[in-house]
Amino acid sequence: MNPADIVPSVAPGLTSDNLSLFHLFLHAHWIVEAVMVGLLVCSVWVWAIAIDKTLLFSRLRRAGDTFEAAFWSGQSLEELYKALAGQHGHSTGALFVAAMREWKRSLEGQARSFAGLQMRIEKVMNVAISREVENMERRLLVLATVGSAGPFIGLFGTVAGIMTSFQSIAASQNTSLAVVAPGIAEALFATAIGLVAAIPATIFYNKFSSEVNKQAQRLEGFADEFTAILSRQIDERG
Amino acid sequence: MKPGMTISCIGHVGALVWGLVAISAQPLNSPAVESLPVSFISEKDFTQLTQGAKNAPQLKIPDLKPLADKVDTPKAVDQLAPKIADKPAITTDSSKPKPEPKADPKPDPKQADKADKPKTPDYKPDQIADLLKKDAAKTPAKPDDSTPQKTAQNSPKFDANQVAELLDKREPQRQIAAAETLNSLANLGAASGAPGAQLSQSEIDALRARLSQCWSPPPGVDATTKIHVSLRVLLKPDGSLAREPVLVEASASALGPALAESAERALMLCQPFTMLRREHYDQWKDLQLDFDPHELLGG
Repeated sequence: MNPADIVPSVAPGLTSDNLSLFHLFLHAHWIVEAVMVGLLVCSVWVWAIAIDKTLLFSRLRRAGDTFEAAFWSGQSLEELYKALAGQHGHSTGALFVAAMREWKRSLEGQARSFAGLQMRIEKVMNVAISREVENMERRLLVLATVGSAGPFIGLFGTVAGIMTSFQSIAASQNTSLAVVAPGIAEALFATAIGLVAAIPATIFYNKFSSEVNKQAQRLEGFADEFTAILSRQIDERG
Repeated sequence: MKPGMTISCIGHVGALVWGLVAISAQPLNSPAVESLPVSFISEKDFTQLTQGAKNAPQLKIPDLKPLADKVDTPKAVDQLAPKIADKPAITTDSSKPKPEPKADPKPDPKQADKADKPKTPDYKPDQIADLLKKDAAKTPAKPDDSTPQKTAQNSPKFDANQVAELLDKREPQRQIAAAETLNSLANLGAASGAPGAQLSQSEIDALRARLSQCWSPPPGVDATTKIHVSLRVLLKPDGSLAREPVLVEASASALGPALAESAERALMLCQPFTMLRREHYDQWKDLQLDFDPHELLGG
């Protein structure tokens, strides 16, 4: 009895002759198919996030450099404030704008309140920093989740696929390679997709979280410097 | 988010298409393996296989193919066990006619008469010549006597075949001739073969029980002692010892000699071992017994 004759009755159309990706997917168990589709979507999403974050961080770095150059160039802070007030997506600039707005409000009011001004500016800048960091960290959690759960999801698909192939062994009373191989191949394909999705996700997560830390430190450093400058101004005026 | 998602989707579709093209063209061909029938037989079955039965149906072997090419044409075998070196009886009497074809025409009396009369006096030694002269009158009446004399004169003086025969001092020998074909039939069983010729487990157990009954362990040996002694025991058909047990192997221990001695004593005390059945004597005439306190006391 040729084992290849039995296979079509178990998995119609899936013989050892056509082990292409397409056939692997088409003839897989529905659980395995769902796992494969889910992992594919995860992979697309991971790469989309990665591309977006790469663009975001390079933009932030460039904007930060130009802003600091302008800030330390001796330009009037009022002019800089007016230039930056309407702009968005400018982390260090946003910090500067938030602090300047608080400063101007305190000076323009009826009674000049220098008394807690420094504290207020610090608070405002902290809020601005945390908002910026939150913006940078958005969707990084997706990368972390896919990176850690992807292999497990793939493994789940593999287990389901291997169970299917064992069922086909039981159905055909045959343990030859032709009966077992397609099921095992489809099952391992699920693990492969899981790894394909998870490996870039983990790498990008590590890269971007360190990038976020770097940017946050830069913002805090600027905030400290700016607070020092404003504090000197307050002391001189008061 | 827009550009990232677009680029990611395009990249994944590209990777999938590449995978479809690159991986699809490699079929997995596994050749069908022919199954090989295997059956398990026990040692007992194997022993019985060699037994042979007189009333077994005769196998018909279509033809026995020769294992070696025949060099010579087969000759009719007139002897059951052919002699390899078939040495004919040597006749030292040179007067006997050696070559048959020459002897055939000789009985013609006329030719013999012609040849004998002129030649005999010339060639024969004196004594024979004298005898011939005496018998000269009788000669025509006895053509038979003259025939050997005549052939002796006619045969060459040096016959290489005769010399070789004379030099051949070998006895006519009877050796097992190698057959032209190998017998493919199994033999009819060993001479001492018996049905189920095997020391059964019950016999082994009975022997062990008897020994552990008779055996008194030397002081210092109990079931937990890691020690063992191996004895070779030769038995007579009635189950008694044929000679003293021989120590084959013993653990390297101070208790070893004492244990060996006690084991020998147990064997001496317990004989004859009647639980061993006589029809299996081939199996138990030469036994190697292991004395292990753990088995004999604890088991």
